[in-house]
Amino acid sequence: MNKFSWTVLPVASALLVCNPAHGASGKQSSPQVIEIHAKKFGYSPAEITLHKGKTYKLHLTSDDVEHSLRIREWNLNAEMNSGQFDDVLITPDKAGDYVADCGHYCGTGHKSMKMAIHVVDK
Amino acid sequence: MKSYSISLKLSLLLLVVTGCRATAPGAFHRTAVNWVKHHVTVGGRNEKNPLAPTKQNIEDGKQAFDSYCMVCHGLDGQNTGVPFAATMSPPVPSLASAEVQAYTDGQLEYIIQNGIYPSGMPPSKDQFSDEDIWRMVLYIRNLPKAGSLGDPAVYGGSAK
Repeated sequence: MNKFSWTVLPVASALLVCNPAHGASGKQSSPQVIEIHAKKFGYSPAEITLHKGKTYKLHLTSDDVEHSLRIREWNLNAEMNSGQFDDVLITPDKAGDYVADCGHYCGTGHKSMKMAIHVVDK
Repeated sequence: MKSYSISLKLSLLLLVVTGCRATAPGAFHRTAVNWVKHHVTVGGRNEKNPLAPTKQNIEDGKQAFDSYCMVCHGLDGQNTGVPFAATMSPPVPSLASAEVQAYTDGQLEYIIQNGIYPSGMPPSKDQFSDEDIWRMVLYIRNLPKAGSLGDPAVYGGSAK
């Protein structure tokens, strides 16, 4: 496997896997960026509202230790590391209320680390 | 009177020193306590795991296990690389052992939730959600080959 395959394909695959409706995302060229910080033991912002069918780029980082943003219904568990940003594209295809939590044990408040995600119709 | 007092103090000191030393429990002690745990004190016998043993759920259980439980149980759940596992009293059991695997899923979930006495197993219900604990149970039912994951980094291993 050449260098291109090792570097580009995993990123592309990750974006597809993390995208609950990746088939609809190709129509938008510049998705709205939402910057999300994780810090013991919460997320900032703690609540976001998304529009169904619209593609967003989640710009993820941690302000302290290793965390993740996990949304089970979307098969998403994105790393959130200190000192770097990682991007995940999502296109929610179903309206509803979702709860994200941390998929990395991060200390005594790990269980309480939650973020509310509301997906509304346009 | 003075010699009596000194003797009493020495006796108490001896009792404390020998009585508090962590030594391996004898065969009778181990068998009796194991029976009591399985049949009397550990609850949840009839609870069923609400999660299916899918590849993803087992992997998620492994991830939770490897971030917390591995300190005592090793990455593989079989104490690999844990320097004190054999010298604790009672010793940390291999989770692949017949003794542990004989618990029902509900009992394993109960133990992770509430800890288990007498042992060093602490309660973890304040650390993980119910679902994450059930995923750990799935991982315990599907452990890898002993030693295959290496030693935890915290004990000088390269595995993380």
